[in-house]
Amino acid sequence: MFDIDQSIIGDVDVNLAAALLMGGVLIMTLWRSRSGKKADTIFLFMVIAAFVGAVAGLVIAFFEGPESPGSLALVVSIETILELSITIQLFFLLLYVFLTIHDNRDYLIRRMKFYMIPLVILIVLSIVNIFTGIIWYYDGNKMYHEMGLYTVYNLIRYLYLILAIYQYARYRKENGQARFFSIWFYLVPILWGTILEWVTPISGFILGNAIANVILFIMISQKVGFTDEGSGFFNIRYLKLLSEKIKAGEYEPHLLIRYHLPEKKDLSDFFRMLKEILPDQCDTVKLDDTNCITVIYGDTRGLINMLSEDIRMISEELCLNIEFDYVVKQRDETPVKFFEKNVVIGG
Amino acid sequence: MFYLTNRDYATLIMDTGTILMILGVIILLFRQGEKGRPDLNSFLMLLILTIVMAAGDMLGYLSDQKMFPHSRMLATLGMTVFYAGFLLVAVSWLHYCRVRFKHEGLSGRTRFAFEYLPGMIGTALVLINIFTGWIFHYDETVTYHRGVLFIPMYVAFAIFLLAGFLCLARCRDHSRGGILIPLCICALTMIFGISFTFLVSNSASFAPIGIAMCFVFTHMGIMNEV
Amino acid sequence: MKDMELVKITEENTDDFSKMISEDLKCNLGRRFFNGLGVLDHESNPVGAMVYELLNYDSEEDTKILIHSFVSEDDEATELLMSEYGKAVSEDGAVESLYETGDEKINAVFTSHGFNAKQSESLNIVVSAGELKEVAAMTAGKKIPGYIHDMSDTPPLRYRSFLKKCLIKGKTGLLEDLGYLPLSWFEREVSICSISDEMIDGVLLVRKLPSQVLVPCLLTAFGIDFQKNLLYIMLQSAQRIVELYPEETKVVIRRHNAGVKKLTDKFFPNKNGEMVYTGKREER
Repeated sequence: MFDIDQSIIGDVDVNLAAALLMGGVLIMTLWRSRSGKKADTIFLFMVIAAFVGAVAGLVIAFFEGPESPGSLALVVSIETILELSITIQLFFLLLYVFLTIHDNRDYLIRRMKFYMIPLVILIVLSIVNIFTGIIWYYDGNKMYHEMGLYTVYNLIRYLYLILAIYQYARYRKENGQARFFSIWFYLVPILWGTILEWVTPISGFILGNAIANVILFIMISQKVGFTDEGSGFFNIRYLKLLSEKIKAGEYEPHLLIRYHLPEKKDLSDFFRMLKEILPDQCDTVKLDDTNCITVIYGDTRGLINMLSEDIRMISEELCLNIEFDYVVKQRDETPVKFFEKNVVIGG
Repeated sequence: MFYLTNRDYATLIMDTGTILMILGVIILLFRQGEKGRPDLNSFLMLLILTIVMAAGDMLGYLSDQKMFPHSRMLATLGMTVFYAGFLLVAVSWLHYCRVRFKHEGLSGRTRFAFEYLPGMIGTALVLINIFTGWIFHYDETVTYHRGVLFIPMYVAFAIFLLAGFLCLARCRDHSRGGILIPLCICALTMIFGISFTFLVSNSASFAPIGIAMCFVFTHMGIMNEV
Repeated sequence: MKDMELVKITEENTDDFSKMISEDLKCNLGRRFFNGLGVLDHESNPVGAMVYELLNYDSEEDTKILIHSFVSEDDEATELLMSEYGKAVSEDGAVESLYETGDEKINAVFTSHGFNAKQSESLNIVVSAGELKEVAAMTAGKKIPGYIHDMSDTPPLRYRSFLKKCLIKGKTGLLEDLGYLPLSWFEREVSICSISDEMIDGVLLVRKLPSQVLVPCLLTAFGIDFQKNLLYIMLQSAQRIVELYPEETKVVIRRHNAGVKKLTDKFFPNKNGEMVYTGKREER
């Protein structure tokens, strides 16, 4: 049986739980085949930063205090790593939210100068703090103390959270609910952790942060659960979810394209080119090995003609016999009726 | 008014964190249209029982510390809820593992004998414990003591857990690169969570969060495999 | 009744009606939703012609018809045209017919055939390339970003991808048949686009008519930077027009919605459309 001092056991427990959570998510993230989406790479960095922070929080519990081993320089270094990891994680959160909802690298790059400013300020402050202790410091007994500037330091960090919320809220206002993502699930554990940080002597933020990342990862993995691995389109499980969203009025299908794919052929090139020619406002579902449908939302003027030409062009280029037909929603049909009439969802 | 130690705060944080995490998972399950899944009910049962466990743990643990004026009754109630939840989690875990990958496994009567009956007996023992103290009891100073059935109860729990993992490991449905890695993570977090409390003296209760982690990783790694 | 023949005007026989249909309108007759009706006398001379366009035909909204041109030398040709037009309206399922004309006589013809007319300011305003100089001068000190450029080298696939987005969102500008028009239909050197992630996310498509008049047909942008990009696109297009065309070159801007009107009020505050007759007729 191990004996850990009463004064630090709480910090050890909480940071250990956070480290375990983040370690598990990190392994699962690395293990899962990546979708290739830009946001997923950012998520990996977020998790690494959170894991580093949790481990730093765990380690520092053993080196704080007058009786603990290790030098003052060591605790200051570890605490600096811990604070920077939180900062970097929140920075990556903003990038992640941005890329998830916009999925456009150029938009992010154009804003990067503005987004980097708080990060640079915080890094500089952290480095200056090592020598001056203007934000936090450890006294001769290796006890941690916060200065008044720490509040400002925290507020600058939380700016990234506020920016992320702003981006999400703005996107939601203009485009409706984002698919498989909601920032509020991330925000609640963070707020919970922040409140704990204020009212308890233990770093509850680290655990709150870990829980937030876990929930975020679940959202990502739910999306993966609806994805057909071979084609990258949605799988048949998605049809039920789509049907519910159509009934709820979130999507309004106007055009349906049905593909009959040749058997025993390598269709990976076809799926790749199909992704390039299909517009953003549609969902493609692979029903089985030989059947696929694309549901298109929005006005269909001229689209049928363009898509038909493009699909024929791809089929000819790849020498594949792809048969397809399309169904257009009639004026007097509701989107729900149109979808239910033309798409059979299994039990 | 209250004086809480570092360990008390940690218990509070970890148990509320467990409840928060599980609630998040439950909301996401329903939000993303998982309603039609055949294994959803058994997985939901697992999650709800974990919340019950965490709530009971929080109440029992803090009642025997400085949170309330040494309420022996509250402490006993809290830990009873915790252990009842603990046992039911074990049985539900095996049930979930069978349903998830459609292992028929045992026939009706045998299944009753090996799954439901132990669960019923275990729950009955936990309830009887209020009067007998066979699993745990609190003395006049509201100090926690383990009873004679404490270790056998944990052994029974471990057997059910192992049976569940074996069910999963036997599954041949390795559609997305296998489920071995998430399975290992799930097992390790649960084992670590339960055993940490035994390994480290003065530790806050790690079991609820360890078990919650296991189920959350199960959801991530296994539940989404078609 | 004299021996008059009613014909459909298509790309093949537009030259027969050269004196009745302007060059600018003739080039539209190959387009999907443009139709032409002509009347020939017994000597096969054109005595009447009308060109109209179907609006909303490919969508779920009610189909309407906009009459772009009506010319007739006598009453008989007029009656023949209006009668055949009525049949076409029924076949196409149109619910309303619309027209805009500066000619009082043509207005009288329409009003005598059931149209309700009024006089109002035309939706079109005409500016010269010289006037665009002032607009282009607004970029003084403001650098137009490198991702805004003309469409001379735009790959067709990239253009088609953007078109699909426009069609789905119902942003077709003045072009009912946007989905059927190739990029070469537009004047690529003054048509400007904004690019992000190798995709077009904003565009100003300008058509050059046979009479050398420039007509901006579609101005739209999507994405988080759409407002900023729209401004850059317009300014860049104005600059290119000033560089490439003489000062007297006309640019006709049709203020077909509130957004365009707001822009023209901002950039050309003293410009008004000429007074014209506009009319409509319910067809059901």
